[in-house]
Amino acid sequence: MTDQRTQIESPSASYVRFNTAGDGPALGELQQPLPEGLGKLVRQELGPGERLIFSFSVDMNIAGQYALKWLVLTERRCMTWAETDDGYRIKLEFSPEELRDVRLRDMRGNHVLFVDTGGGWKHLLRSSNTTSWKLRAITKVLETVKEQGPGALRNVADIELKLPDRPVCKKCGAPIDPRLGVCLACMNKRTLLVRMVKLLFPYKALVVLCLALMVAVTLLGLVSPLLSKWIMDLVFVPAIKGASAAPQTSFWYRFGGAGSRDLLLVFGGIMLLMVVAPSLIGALRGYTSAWVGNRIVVDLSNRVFSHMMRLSLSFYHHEETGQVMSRITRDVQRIHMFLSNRLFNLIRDVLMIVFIVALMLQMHTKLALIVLAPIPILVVASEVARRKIHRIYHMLWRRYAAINRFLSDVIPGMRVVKAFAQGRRETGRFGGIMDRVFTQEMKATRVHVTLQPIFGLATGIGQLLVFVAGGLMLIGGQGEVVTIGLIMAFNGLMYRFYPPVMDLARALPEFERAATSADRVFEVIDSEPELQTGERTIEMPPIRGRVEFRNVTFGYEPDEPILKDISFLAEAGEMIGLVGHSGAGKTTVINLICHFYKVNEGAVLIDGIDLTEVKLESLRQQIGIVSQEPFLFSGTIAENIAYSKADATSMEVVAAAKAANAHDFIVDFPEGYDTLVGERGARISGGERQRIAIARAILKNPRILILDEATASVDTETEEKIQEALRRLIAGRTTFAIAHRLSTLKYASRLLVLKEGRLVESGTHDELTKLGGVYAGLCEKQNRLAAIATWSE
Amino acid sequence: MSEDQHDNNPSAEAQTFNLMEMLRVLDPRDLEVERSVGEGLVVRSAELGQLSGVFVEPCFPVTERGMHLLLKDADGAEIGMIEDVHKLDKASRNAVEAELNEQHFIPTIIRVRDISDELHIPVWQVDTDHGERRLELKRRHDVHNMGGGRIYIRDAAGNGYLIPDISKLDPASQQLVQSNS
Repeated sequence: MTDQRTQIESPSASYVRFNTAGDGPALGELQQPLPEGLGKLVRQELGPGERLIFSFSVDMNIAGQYALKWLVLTERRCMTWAETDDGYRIKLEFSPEELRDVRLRDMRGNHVLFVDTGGGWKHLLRSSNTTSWKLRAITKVLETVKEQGPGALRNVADIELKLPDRPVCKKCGAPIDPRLGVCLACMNKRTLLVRMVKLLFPYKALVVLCLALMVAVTLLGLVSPLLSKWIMDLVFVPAIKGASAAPQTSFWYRFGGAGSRDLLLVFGGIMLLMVVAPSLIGALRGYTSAWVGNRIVVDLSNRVFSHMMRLSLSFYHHEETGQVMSRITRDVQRIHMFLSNRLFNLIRDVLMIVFIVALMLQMHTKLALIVLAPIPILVVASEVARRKIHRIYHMLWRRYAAINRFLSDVIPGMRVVKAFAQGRRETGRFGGIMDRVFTQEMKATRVHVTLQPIFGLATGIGQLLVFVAGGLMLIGGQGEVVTIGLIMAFNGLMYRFYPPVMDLARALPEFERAATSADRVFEVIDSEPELQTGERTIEMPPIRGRVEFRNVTFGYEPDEPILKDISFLAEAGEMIGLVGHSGAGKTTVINLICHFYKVNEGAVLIDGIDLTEVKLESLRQQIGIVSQEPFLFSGTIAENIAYSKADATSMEVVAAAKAANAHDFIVDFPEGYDTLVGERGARISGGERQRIAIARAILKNPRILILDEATASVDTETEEKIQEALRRLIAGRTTFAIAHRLSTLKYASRLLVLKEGRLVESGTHDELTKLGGVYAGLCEKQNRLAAIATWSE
Repeated sequence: MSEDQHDNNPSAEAQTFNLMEMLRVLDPRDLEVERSVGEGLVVRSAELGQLSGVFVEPCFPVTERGMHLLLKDADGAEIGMIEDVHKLDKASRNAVEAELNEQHFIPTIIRVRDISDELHIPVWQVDTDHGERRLELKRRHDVHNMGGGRIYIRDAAGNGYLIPDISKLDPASQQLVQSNS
């Protein structure tokens, strides 16, 4: 141990320092250096040779005011210091020898730690949920001191502290919002673009083809303004004013003289080609890029989905899961849009602008500069207008979303609406929502109508300049020659110039959105499934069925333990009944046996193997669950039974159904085992579903069986059939059963009674009844209820 | 049928019951079956003796018609199972198949002439192996894809029709079915 800590001088006091990089516990955030003023005071307090072990602060004082309260632990004592208006005050001080007991009480919104140092309980610390994990850690330390004596303080590093694992950014270490799943500070848009573009790599050849076709279309698009120049200057003007008005030499004279019919036909032919070719090439390009884009959506979706299948159940525990899922779907869509559409358009737009500017400059530099001068101003102006419109449309979109929300709320609840005769009220509410949609729609229209002329001006001003500035040069006739054809060509080019410029202005926000989407999708793909993080190396051998809980503490939220320090042992082949009120933690026990979640403290062992070490699939293959509301997938009954064993033969399916007492009702369906269940299929009653689920479990032949309220929602006769089926299923397997109806548990070899997360009683039915405790009370209540039920019949 | 599903899990076999004992599979060589019109089948076997008034019921009427047939007596109690009708001798097989065709009638669609939508009721004009037929469905979802190209249709009255393999139909029929399921 000695090599793990060395005495160092810290700015405020000397600490025993733990080597957090080694295999000792990561005290990490728990060890907070004392602030300057307090450090000085504490140092004055310390006796000779007395060293600090650690100090930390919580966010509340005992009175419940939000203020920092410090705990200082040395080798000889434990102190708390409160921050008051006139400096720090020592509040409580005791030596480890004095410590008799320690108790942490978890209450709503806050947690209080009490100590007994002789003379009853005293408040030690109080904390909100935010820092309650610190209370948990210090409780553990004090408990160890209580059990092992003050000497334990010298080996604090040996005490296993449960510090929360919060998602932190791998790059900067800052905590990140688990719902966002992305560290915004570290999001590097450039690398994301590279990564997105890399998705295109498997389809390199097609992408190159797309780009080539695009360049071709772009270039062809620029030919027609040139053509109009040539027709004007070489054909029309000479035809009206005589051949002298035409340029002296031209490449085109080899096809016909200036102003001749031949030349006109040549140009006409080229023009026809220019009309037809781009649309053909464009169609080919559109098809190819759509193919590539959709391929990427499929690749990406498959990767995301297969990854989601491997994520721990605690990922799905949160309510926001649905949102996360749909957002990821939308994210994939956005990446698709960006790659298959936006990216190509971006390249095309840039090419187009470069070509047009180059062509204009080459044809007439001075005119080009004049004409292009107002463009930047127009781009900025239109961007401002666009944002205004965007805001209004966003509001509109939210109003429309309100309609959907309303409908998806009311339509499924139609039975309730009718039962309470609230149809008129709902109609009124719907009318209100529609009115708001109308108002917003009209607001959007007004803005649109006002802005339309401004956009018109934006596109018109370029052409205006071409005619006025170009016209002045034509009339003046100075400098480089300006012809009618040139003005025509400029006009055509300006016409083609605006759309790509506007597109580019829009591309930036779209890229931002795509980048955020991409980051989230990559994050999901990159993230390690939570339960996989440990070294899961052990392939679970065939289970004999000995299940052990060793001091298990667990909560779905770290601060709200559902199970508290549970220990029990179930021998192979035993049937264990779990009894207790709702919320006592029965289902949680089962979730931990299946290892859907990791325990916070303690361990769950099957045949002596800690579940955190086994490969999940090898474990779950050997566990069967029959739950209260068995889930049937859409498909035939046979497929549903065979879900637990993909290679089951038809004979096995029928045999399993017989064992589950399901065979008779199945063959009574017109389509027998081929009957479709689920959304589009036959209606199957609760008891029938139950038996199909039992057949599924029988076919799986699990070594550990879990019955979670398997007979809760069926009538007595059906229950008997299910009980009979269950007896076949239970034989020779370790079984855990939850049931509200205690009669269901009459075959249990032992009952475990849970109360508020603790194991309070255990034994057979007879033993527990004699004991006269929680279980006896539950039995008595149920008997009384049963008596009332019989009497009222 | 003797393959024991516990084989892959040796520690299990001693304790749990044998699943296959739930089934009573009849030896096809021991069975002699003939029809007794209007009164089901007459079954003779060394194991069962002579039984009359026997009815036959397929477990998987849509996906494996000739397989896993249950024999039931007049009261509906199960006598046993014929695993594969093809393992019976020819006369017995004919008898079982003829009876099956009567007791569990599912014609096969061999051509789809037209599918139309009359006031939201899908109407199919088809040729079956039992002749021409006009099917009125409850809704479009009553056309069930059973996998492997097999399509099962149930009309509004609950009659079943089968397309064993859609890819074996003529192209026009395929087109019609695919755009209406």
